[in-house]
Amino acid sequence: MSTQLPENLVRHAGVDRAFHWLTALAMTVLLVTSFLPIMGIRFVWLELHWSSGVLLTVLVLLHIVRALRGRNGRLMKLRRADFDELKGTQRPGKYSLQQKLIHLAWSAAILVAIITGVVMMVKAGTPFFSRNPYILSYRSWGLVTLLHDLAALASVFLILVHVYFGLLPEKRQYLRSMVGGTVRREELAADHDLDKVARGE
Amino acid sequence: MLKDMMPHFDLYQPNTLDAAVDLAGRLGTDGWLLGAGQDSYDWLKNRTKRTPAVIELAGIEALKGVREVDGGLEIGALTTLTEIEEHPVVRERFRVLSLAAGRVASPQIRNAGTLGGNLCQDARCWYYRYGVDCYRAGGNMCYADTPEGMNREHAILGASRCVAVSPSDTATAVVALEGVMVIRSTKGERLVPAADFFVQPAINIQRMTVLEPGEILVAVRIPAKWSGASYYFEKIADRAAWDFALVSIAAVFVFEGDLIKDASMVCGAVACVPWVLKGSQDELRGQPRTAETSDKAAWAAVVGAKPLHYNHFKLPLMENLVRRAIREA
Amino acid sequence: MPMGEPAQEWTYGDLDATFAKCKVVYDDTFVHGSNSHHSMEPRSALAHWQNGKCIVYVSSQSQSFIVPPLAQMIGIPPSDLVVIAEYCGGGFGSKGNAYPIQALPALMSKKINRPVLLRISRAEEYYNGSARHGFQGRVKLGFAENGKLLAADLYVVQENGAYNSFWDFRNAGDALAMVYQPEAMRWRGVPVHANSPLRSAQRGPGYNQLVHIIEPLIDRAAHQLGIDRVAIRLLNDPVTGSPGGVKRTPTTSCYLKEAIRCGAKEFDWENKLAMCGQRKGSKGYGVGVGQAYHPAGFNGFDGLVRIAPDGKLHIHTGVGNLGTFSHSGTSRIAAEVLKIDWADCVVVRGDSRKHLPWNIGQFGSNTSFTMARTNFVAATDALNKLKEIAAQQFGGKPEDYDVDGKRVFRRGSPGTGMTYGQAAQRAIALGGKFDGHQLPEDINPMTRDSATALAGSGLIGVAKDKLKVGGETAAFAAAFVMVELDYETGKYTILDFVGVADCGTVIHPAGLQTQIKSGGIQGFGVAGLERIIYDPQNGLPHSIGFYQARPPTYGDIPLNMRTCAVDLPDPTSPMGTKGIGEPLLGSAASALLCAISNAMGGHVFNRTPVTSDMILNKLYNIPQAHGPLQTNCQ
Repeated sequence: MSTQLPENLVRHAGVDRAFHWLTALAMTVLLVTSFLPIMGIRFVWLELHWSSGVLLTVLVLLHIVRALRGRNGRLMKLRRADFDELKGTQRPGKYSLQQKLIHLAWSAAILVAIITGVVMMVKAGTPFFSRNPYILSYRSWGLVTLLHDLAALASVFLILVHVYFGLLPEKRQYLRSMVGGTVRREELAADHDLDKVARGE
Repeated sequence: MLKDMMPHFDLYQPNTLDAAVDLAGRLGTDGWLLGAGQDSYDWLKNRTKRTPAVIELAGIEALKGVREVDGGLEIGALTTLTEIEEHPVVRERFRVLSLAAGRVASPQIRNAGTLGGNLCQDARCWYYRYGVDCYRAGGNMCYADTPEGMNREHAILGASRCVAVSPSDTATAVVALEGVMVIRSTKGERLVPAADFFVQPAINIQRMTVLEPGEILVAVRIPAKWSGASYYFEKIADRAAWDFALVSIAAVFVFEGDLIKDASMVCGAVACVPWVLKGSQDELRGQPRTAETSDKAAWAAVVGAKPLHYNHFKLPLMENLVRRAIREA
Repeated sequence: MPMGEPAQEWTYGDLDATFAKCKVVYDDTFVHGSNSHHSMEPRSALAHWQNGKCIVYVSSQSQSFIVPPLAQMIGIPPSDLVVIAEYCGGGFGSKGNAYPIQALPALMSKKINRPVLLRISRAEEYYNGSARHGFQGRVKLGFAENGKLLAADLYVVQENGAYNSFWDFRNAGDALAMVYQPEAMRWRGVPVHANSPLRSAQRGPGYNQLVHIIEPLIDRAAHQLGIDRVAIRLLNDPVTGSPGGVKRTPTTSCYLKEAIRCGAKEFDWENKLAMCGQRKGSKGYGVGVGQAYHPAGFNGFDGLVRIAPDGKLHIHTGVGNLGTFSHSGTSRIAAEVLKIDWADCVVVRGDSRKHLPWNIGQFGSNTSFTMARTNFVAATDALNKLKEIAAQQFGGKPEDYDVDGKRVFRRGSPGTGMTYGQAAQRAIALGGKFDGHQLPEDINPMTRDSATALAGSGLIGVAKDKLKVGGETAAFAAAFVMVELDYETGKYTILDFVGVADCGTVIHPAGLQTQIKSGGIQGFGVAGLERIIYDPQNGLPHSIGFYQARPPTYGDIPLNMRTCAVDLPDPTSPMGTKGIGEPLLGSAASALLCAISNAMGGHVFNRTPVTSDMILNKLYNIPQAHGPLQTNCQ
């Protein structure tokens, strides 16, 4: 079956790559505008921060819609059988267990950051909401801020992991596919079960 | 909590600037600089802010007095507001500063209060002064810009989370005259244009000025540029004495016949910093001094204003002060 | 405005029928803001115990009056309490009666057996120093074509703060009935507790709030009916004998019309009025006339004087010292009765150990009326005793004797007589009623204790005030204000002020002038500047210092404030005196509000204070920041 696959497989469609790099851009701006002022480098950060947050929110919403439509969403679904990859008895389909796990972790972190961030926009004052810090109790605001900050810290950790593996020579195919869109069949075959890939798993 | 009682602190009373700079450098954030104390004593006595040590600058003669330098002036940071108000050279050539100094608080406060203190005074937002944990106090909240917040005196321009305003009357004049702040620290001296001396909350929400711990504002240089220019100063406050501006304006103009050759206009109490009316100045340069011109300048002044619940009256007030400055300078 | 069932109400006349007769009817809601008392001296108190007695140093407008209630708070009999209230840096009504802060150090001192000082800071003064009651309300006024106010219907909701407090809301009804004399009137009121600082009586409680609201509406009627604003007041004003309140009690004297006429002349009303209405550059003028009233007829207190063997007259006064020194002003009445030089008088006061009589506190615009009576009866008692002693010594009847120059002597034979010093020595020798060993039955126990302590030390004059009372003795005042309004900034400058008191006979011209001017200044604050607000979400108090609460400064008042007085006697006071202080504030504040309204072409805000932002918003047709009937907003 695997031979049915072309020599150059389209791993990431243009729209998905655009999503990835825009997300990366938004995340970078978000992290720079949040951490640099804390480190003492002062500039007008708030508007950049929340507007990047809004961009990220829109991207994530689009991503969710795209994932739920058609069969795309299934590709990232974590299954019990995926853990057999650890024993070596299974080889992954399009996405490896590690990729699925980091996606899951990142989903959680970003969703938490977005939800708490949108709530915090009501307090900080943006054109979208009339400013009202009293929609939550004092303690709840503390919790919201804590969750937002933890999500930010988790994102920093995940970026480090993501970038580290993205730059590893043996994983360079993934980086190339995220830039150019395609991956060579043989390269993929080294770590992935092409049959599964062909079946759309 | 115990209030209205001076807390304990170590008091340093250097009598030379070098000693003060050394002390300030050594103590850093622990060294509270004290001019005449008209702002500091409120904080300390109310125990809203505390400090382990106070460096009293009052004994340093080098920080006092008005000196003529290169056609302009150098005014020591510890010069009293009364002295600036009454100084013949300030009156004659930089009248707008004299008028501004003369409208600060009350005669008693002007007799004691200093230029440096008036420029560096902290925000007068009543929530902040009350001691709540607002953004400016290091917290994560603004109490004034809320649906029911009492924000009649607060900002309509340039706010970012914090909506406190620049309370200084002399700051408007110093910025309008394109003054330069002379700042000393153990690292030496640096000069900061007055317009850059004041910090917006978007950049640093906990400070009103660029002064870093260990730095001392030693003097304000007023360049010769606006010497003898036509001027206008007005401060609108609820009370004629001992009150902070609702809106104030300091403006200097160079007229050539009916034409406005150059203008420098600054409003106080509308933003967290003395608000330079760049748009208005651009509308004025090279234009005839007419009602239409001043209307355009007035409208340009309030571009981007975002009034809060109780302070939209500041818009017509600010516009009118701009018109009036052009008309009556 | 929600018009729920009122807590209290009264009506006289046929309201509906009278409204039906009216040519012009206004039906408005209004808000009167609250404002702090701004007592210059915060209400600190010190207490210690000595030999079973409790000695307290308090900040009080009153001396004798607070002893029983304060003793009750501390839990001791009044005779075991020493109250020292020699000086007071202002109270404005907030220190009239005893208040708990005076008792706290005494109770603590009892526990730790050491002196205890409770120091109240300026900020705390704004929490527990109390403030004027704010009003929200609705008023319907009906005028005849000639400008006569025929019918009035008033509903007042009073902000109480967190505790039961004063009855301003009732006084407002009485003021409307008295000052404007409507043929038919209904008053309804309800006090409401609120989570806000303590409220209490403040200079003209309720009476003044009422005129601040009604006077501009009178102007509106005058404008609509084409009547001069002074004329419409002269038409409606009460006169001597005019009834007040629901009980329709007649006034013992009222010269409000005379006050208005006198003020209009001094102010030059006609010419000033002619200056208004034209705009000069960004500015224009406005003039206003205001009036106010305060009943001040307390009576039935005691007087106590002593002629010492050295011939000096000791006038014991327990009235207190609000800072106006009227303790001495009213003591002079005793000196006049006994025709003794003021230099030979000693005013004994300020410390309950000095044997003081039971007197009213220094509040309610009552001092000059009530204390004139007590000092008069005590001095008259001493005078009668002097004459009796002289008659015993030199023969004849007491009526044959007269006094002057510290002597009592037979009429027509000035050589036959004795000095006051000799008479005092004679009184001690005689004992009995002459030197205080025998006292009238009807005097208060406090006066009895004091007189008993003084017994044997001189000639004692002591009596309860049982002088004629015949109706309501009230103080009235009128004021005139001219402002220059800056239409570009909403700021106004008060250019001229004339205050006129209808306070009966003037006994202390300098003191009266000060009262009129200071009442005026305080009125300017209430009308245009002062505020006591808080953050409603967090309950944070905004106004915890002078500069936030904004009482007027020297720069906010006209340089030359003019005063005059009608100076016509009240028949129920032996010296013709009656109340002074409180309506002076209300009339000035009303005049200012009317002047601002005049400068704005007749616009009436129906709320106080009228601040520059409200003026500016109105001038530029911008919606006001406050909602209808909203309080706590300026």
